[in-house]
Amino acid sequence: MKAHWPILIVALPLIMSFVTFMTGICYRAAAYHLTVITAAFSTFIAICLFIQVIVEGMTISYHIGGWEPPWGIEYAVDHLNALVLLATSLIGLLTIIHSRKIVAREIGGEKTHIFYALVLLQITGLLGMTVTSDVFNLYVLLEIASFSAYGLIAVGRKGAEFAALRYMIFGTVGAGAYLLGVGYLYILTGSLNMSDLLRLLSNLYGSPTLLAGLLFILLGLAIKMAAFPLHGWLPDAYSQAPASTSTLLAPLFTKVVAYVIIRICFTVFHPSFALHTYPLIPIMGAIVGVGIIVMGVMAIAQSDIRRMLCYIVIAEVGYIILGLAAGNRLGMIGAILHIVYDMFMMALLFNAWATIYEHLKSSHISAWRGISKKYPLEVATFILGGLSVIGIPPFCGFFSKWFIILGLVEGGKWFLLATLLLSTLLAAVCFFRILEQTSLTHGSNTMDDRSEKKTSLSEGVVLASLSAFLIILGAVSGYLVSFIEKIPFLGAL
Amino acid sequence: MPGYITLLPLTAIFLPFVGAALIILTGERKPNLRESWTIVTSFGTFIAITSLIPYVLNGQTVECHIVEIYRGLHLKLKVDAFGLIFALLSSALWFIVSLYTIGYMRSLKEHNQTRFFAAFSIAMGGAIGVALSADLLTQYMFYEILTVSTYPLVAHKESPEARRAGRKYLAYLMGGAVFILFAMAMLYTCEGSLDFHPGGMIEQEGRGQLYRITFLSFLLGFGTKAAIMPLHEWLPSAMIAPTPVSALLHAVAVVKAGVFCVLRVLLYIYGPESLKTLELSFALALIVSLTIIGANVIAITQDNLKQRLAFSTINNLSIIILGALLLNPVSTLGAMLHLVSHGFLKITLFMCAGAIFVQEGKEMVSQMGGIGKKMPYTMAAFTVGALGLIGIPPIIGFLSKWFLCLGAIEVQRTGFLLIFLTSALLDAVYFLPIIYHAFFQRSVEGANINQEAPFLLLLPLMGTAIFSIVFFFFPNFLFHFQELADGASKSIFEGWRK
Repeated sequence: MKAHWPILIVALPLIMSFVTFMTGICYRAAAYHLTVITAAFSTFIAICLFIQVIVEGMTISYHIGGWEPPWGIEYAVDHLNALVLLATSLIGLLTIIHSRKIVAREIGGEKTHIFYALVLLQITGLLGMTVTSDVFNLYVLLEIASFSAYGLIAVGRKGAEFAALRYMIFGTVGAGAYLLGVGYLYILTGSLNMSDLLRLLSNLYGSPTLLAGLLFILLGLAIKMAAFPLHGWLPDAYSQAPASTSTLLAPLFTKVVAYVIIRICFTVFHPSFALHTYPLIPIMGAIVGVGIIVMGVMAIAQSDIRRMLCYIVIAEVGYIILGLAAGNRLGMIGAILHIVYDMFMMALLFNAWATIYEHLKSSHISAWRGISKKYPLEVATFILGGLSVIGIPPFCGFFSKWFIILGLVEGGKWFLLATLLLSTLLAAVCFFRILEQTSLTHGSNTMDDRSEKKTSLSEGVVLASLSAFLIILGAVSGYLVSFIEKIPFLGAL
Repeated sequence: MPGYITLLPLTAIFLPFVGAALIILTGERKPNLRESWTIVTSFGTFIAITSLIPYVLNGQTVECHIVEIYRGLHLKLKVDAFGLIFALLSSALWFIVSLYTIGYMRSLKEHNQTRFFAAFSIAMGGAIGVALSADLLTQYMFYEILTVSTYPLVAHKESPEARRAGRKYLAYLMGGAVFILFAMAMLYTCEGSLDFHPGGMIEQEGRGQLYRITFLSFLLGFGTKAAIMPLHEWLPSAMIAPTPVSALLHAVAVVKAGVFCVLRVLLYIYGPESLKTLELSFALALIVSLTIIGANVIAITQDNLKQRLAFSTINNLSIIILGALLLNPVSTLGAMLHLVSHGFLKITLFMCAGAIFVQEGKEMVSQMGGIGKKMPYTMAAFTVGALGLIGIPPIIGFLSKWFLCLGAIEVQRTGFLLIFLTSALLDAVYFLPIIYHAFFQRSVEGANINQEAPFLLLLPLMGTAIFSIVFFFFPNFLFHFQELADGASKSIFEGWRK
């Protein structure tokens, strides 16, 4: 059983997705419970894999169907993705628990089981992208995640169908570009396995075909991760989606794709290829550097809080690219740390937002005026997440940002450093504005006590535990860093 | 040294945070219980810190590693003489002021008291954390906690004006924090460490320009909190906060934390040698001299008492920095002592201003004619504070200024000696009229006797006034301030070994 964990973590949600759908037809109430149990089990497996990686200190490789790697599909868990797996599955679990009431209201009784089936497919895709070490299999899982995302978004309010359609067009172009790139690599080498590719490609680094392949792959992934200026789909898609969808997608999807970029650029290719031979990552970093400023300004310009958060998501993903663009150990550590930390921060922000949105039925900033008296826990956790995004220690967001800054200083990337610091200030404006509106302004009287709804215990527990995670993760940064430092390719930097 | 001693600094820092949590949990339902948390935690913190004195006086440093982040990067605490001075000052005054705060907030029936007391407690935790940090990273963490927790206190009134003051406060301090972050990253990249070391820790040979930029960046960062002109603008605006906030935070904890950090950078990161060779000390000394004079000139023009006190604070903060910049043991001793004396004196003045506001509703100096007859004890304490700041014996303010002037003479900087003296003169120009009018002018509304402030307000302000006189005669009374400052400055100027 233990030997099969790398496949189980993907196969289980996939199978359970169909089970949930089928059971849901006759017994709808079971959908939620099945989903939670599945997500909990995935988390359990992720924890076990994480511990196994720590104990064994090496890559856990799994050959699907017993086929040896270059021919069969290989799933592998190493120091790079064990953390991402753990964070993804844990946040998936917490978010699903949190959104029970919201799903019941938003989606309605008839469709809940379909919704939960899609949620499980989404988790399948995300975990699969993280664990696979086969570039084509990665494409398949990326599309599983994307298609379930299109579905999850389209059930939203008026305008969601259009946003989902737009996302689908963008996303399909991205997926196509990625597949094209994979095709180039396949033509050159005849292999799809990552470690095999690394070996085979090493004497082809002069080839223009190879460069074109990587370019297509990067383009595709950049669209999927909403890297500036290819981010156009994200604010609409995530802010028109049902609240329960955006709480699941926003923290996870873009970050997992960012992980895939690291995986492809630094373990399929030699790390110096995309950094120095052809400075693709630094160029991307420069563009994204401008982007995080633009996104910061856009975030400030929003009056809808979820939309504001969407722009923050894009800026935060940009930090990861900045860390990579630093081109050294410290920057890389910061980027990987930021993937994990940002998942937690965004999960907290979106979940806290969704809770408040459920009460107020409005996401407009003016509706949030003076609500901290009525919803102290919800507002406090939201602000906490905000402080972490700004980078106030001891919350975890500071530590990842700190490593990225160290990396940029060491690499002498002054322009990127300036954009990062400036964007910190822009984030501060966003969140302190909300703090001011919610806590330091008298509430308007239109919000009477007629809609006296209480946050349920499970929602409160999820918010509190996510907040606790922000502090705990900050405190254990040192251990995580020493864990991340064991990633083999960091030695080549 | 018994093992549990290393836990004391940790306790001292965590107690205020625990207190804040208890305050929030208790809430508005049981105000007496809530206020008792403030008193209990402030007293506990105070005890924890005072019990560290003997060890530090013996020349020991108490260290406590919390967690390692990366090679050479830790979150760790260390109690040395300089840190202990600031921690003692903050915690002692916090305990005294907590009584005053309760009296003040209740007399005025302020709203949102839970938030107020909780944020207050967190801010104190931040200030003590700044004092006891062993390296820049830890210090930055507490510095930021201090910044954020003070924001709701500045905007406490929830009026548009208060919110504007809050925004201004944040804009200055968050902007400054970014520069600190940058400077820390530069320092770490060059030195591979951020630890404080008496007499400096940098190896600046061949990296002069780099370290000048870093220094400027540190200055832009910590200088905002230390209210060095032209980065001072937020402080007078922040006076809109309730008076206990102005008293403890904007005269002691927050701004002193800024000065403390500047001094840490000057003396424990750069060190006298590097400051001299990089030609930084003189340039900065000029800037703070301008601040010293400029702030006092502006103070003369202010009619609002709290504004006037705010500019006087700006003046005194720069005096402390100038003292350290003269780079000799005597003036550094004076600077550290002035940190203490200004703390005690200014808090007395602010508490008096608050008591007057509570009793009479008056904020303007021009309305305060004859107030000495109505509130004799309050105004007596005010007189002690004002005379002390001018530098008249037998009040501790004289002592610190005396050392500062001695230091200026020792390094033969007559110009800076003149700055100290002129500043004292200007102090007299704006403080003495207040005292004169209070006691010798007839009140406009007729003198109804016995309008003295309530006991809870009177006790703390009398206490700090008496302490400032006692400290003149016995500078080592209870807290050993002078011995500590002496030890700290000696370690800086003799401990230059690297």
